[in-house]
Amino acid sequence: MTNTVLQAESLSKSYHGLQAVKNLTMAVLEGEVFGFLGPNGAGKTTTINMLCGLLRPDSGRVLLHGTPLSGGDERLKALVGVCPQNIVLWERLTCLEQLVFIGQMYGLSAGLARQNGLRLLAELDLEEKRDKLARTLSGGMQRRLNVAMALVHDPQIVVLDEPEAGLDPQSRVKVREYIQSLARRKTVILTTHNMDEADRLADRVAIIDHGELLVLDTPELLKQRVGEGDVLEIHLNNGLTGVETAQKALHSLASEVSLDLTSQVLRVRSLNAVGRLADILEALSAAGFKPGQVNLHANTLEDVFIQLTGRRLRE
Amino acid sequence: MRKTLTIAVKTLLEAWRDRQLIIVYLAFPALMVLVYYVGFGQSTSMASFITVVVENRDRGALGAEFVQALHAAMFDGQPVFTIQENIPPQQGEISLEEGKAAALLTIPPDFSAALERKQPTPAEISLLGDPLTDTYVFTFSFLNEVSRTFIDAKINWQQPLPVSLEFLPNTGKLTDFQFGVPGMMVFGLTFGLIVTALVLVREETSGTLQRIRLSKASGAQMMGGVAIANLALGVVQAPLAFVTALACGFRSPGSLPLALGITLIFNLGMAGVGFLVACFSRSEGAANGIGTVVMVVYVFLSGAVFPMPTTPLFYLGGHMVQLYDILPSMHAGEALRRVLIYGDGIPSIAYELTLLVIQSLLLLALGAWLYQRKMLKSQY
Repeated sequence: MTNTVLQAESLSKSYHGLQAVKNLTMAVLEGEVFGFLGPNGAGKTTTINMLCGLLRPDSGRVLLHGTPLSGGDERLKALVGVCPQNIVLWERLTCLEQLVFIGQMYGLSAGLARQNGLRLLAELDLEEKRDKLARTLSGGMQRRLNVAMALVHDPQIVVLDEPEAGLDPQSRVKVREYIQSLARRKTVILTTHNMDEADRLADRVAIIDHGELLVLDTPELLKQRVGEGDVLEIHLNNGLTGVETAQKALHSLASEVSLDLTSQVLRVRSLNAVGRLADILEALSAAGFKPGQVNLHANTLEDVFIQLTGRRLRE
Repeated sequence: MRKTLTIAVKTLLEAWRDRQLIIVYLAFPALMVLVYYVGFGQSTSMASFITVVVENRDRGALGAEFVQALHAAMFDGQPVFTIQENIPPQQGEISLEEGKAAALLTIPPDFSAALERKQPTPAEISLLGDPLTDTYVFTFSFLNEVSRTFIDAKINWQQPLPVSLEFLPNTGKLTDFQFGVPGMMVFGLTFGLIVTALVLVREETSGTLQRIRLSKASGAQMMGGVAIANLALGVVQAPLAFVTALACGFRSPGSLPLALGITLIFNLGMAGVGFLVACFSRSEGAANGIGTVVMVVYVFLSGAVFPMPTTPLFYLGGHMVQLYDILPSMHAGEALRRVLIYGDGIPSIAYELTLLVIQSLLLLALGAWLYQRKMLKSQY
C-alpha cells in the first residue's frame, strides 16, 4: 500500500474572487481508504472535482500513477467511480437497468455490465429489488444503489461522498462493511462529516479548511498529537485534600490535572494518555498515591477536527 | 382563509423565483398578440386582396341589389370586397386559378323570386375558390355577414343565405376536418420539442447528467441517443395519428409512407429545437414554458391551424419565398398537405422537402452543438 495512485500538486481554484482551494498538495496511496474531511465550504468538493477531472484547476496539477492529467483525461473516467452525496438515480429505470446503462456508458458490453450489476446488487443486498423502479425503493436502498452505480465499471479509484448520510443504523453498518470490503482491492476516497465513520474506515485522514490542507495522517496519530488529549479518570484511595502534589508529579506528562474531592477522582488530560498510562501511574505511585480504577475518555477524531477548524458555524 | 392566502402567497413566491417560468407565463398572451401581428398585422388591408368575381344570374332586381350590398360592405372605413362583374365564367375561373381573385360568387336565377316569397332556400348562392387560401376563407366569413344584413333588411329574416362552397379542380371535396388533418399533424408533432427539452432538463436537475459526464459517453452520443429516441417515438406517433384520421373518415389519395417520411424528418428538426430550448431552461417549468412559446410560433406562423396571409419576399426558381419559410413546420405542413390532400409525389414537393431536410438537419446540428457545449463538457 505504498504506491501513489492519485496526487494533487499545488492545486488552486477560485470562484468569483473567492479562493476555494489554495495550493493543495496531497497524495492518495493505492489500496487505502483515504478520509477527506472538512467543514462545509472548506473546498472538499472542489478538490474532489479537480481530482476526478471535472474541474480545471487555476494552477497546479493532478497526477495519475505519476503521469500528469490534462483536459478532462479519458483515462481518469475509466479508472474513477464517483458516488455523489445526493442520491442520483434515474427514477423510471429499475435497479438493474440503471446499472447496465451506466456500465455501458463506461464502455462495458451489455453482458458484462449486467454481470457486474447483478453482482453488486447481491453484495449490497438489493438482489430482490433488481426489477423494481428506483423511485419505489426506500432511502437506504436508494443510497446503496447510489454506491453500486459508482462501482459497476470496476474502477480502481472510488470516490464516496457521504455514503452513510441519512441512513438508519442497520443500513449504515451494511454500507460501512461494504466500504471495508472494498479496501485493499480498490482505492477509496471517502468524504464525510461523520467522524466516527472516518475513524473506523479511513487508513489516513486529510482535514481541509478554507481551501488549505491542515493535517494528513492516520486517525490514531492525529488523535495522539492534535486536540486537547485523552482524559484519564483515576480513582485514588488516598483521601486527598488538594491536587498540587498530583500536578507536581505529573507536570511533564499531562497538560491538565484536576481533582474531584468528593469522589476522589483525579482527572488527567494528556495527548496520547493511553500510551503514557504506565508512566502516569508510575509517577503517581512514586508520589505516594494509590491509583485504583482507571477510566479512559479517549480523544476523538471529532475533537481533533474541532481543534483544527474551530467551533464557529459554517455556511 | 388565512391558510389559503398563505399558500397563495407561497405559490406566487416560488413562481416568482423561477424567473424563466414567470417571465414566459406573464408574457405569453402578449407574445400571442405579437405572433398574430407578425402574421396578420403587416398587410395594409385584407380587403385589398379580396377580389370577388360576381356572376349575377338573377332574373329579378334583388340580385343586383345584393351585389350593391357587397360593393358597399365596409370594414374599418375600407371596402371589404373588390367586385368584378360582367366577366365570363371561364375568365372568372382563370382569375381564381391565377390567384387574382379570391372567389367566384354565382347568384342563381331564382334569387329574387325566392326572397320575395320569403324563402331564401333554395335560392342558394355558390362560392367557388381554393379553400387552402386565406382569402377564400375570409370571403366566406364576410359574405355570411353581408348576406345576413341584406336578408334581414329585405325580408326581416335574420339568417345568412345558404352558400354552396365549391372548390377549384384538384382542391377536392374537402370538409374542414379533411383540410385540417395535415396541419393538426404538424401541430401534434411540434410537441416533440417540449418533450425533448423536458427529458434533457430533467437529467440536469436530477443530477443524472453529471453521471453521464463522468462516464466515457460523449456529448455527441448523448445527443444522438435522444434524437434517435425522438425519431422512434415519431415512428409510432405519426402512424397513430394517420390511423386515427383514417378511422374518422379522412381519405388520402397520396402516399402514406411518403407522409410518414416527412413527419420523421420534421421530428428530427423538432428534436434540435428541443435541444436549443433545453440550453436556455433551468427548470422543467421553464422548459415547458419556453417550449410552449416556441411551439406556438412554429404552429401558428406555419399555417397549420389556419391559413396565413402570404408575405412574399422574393422568388426563387419560380417559388415564392415568404417570411415564414424560415420555419420547417411551414414546409412540413405544406408537403403533408400536398401529399395527403392532393396526392402529390416527391417531384411536386421537392422544394418543400429540400427546405425541410436542410432546416431540420441544421436545427438538429445547432441544437446538439450548443447543448453539448453548454451542458456536457466538463469545465476543462
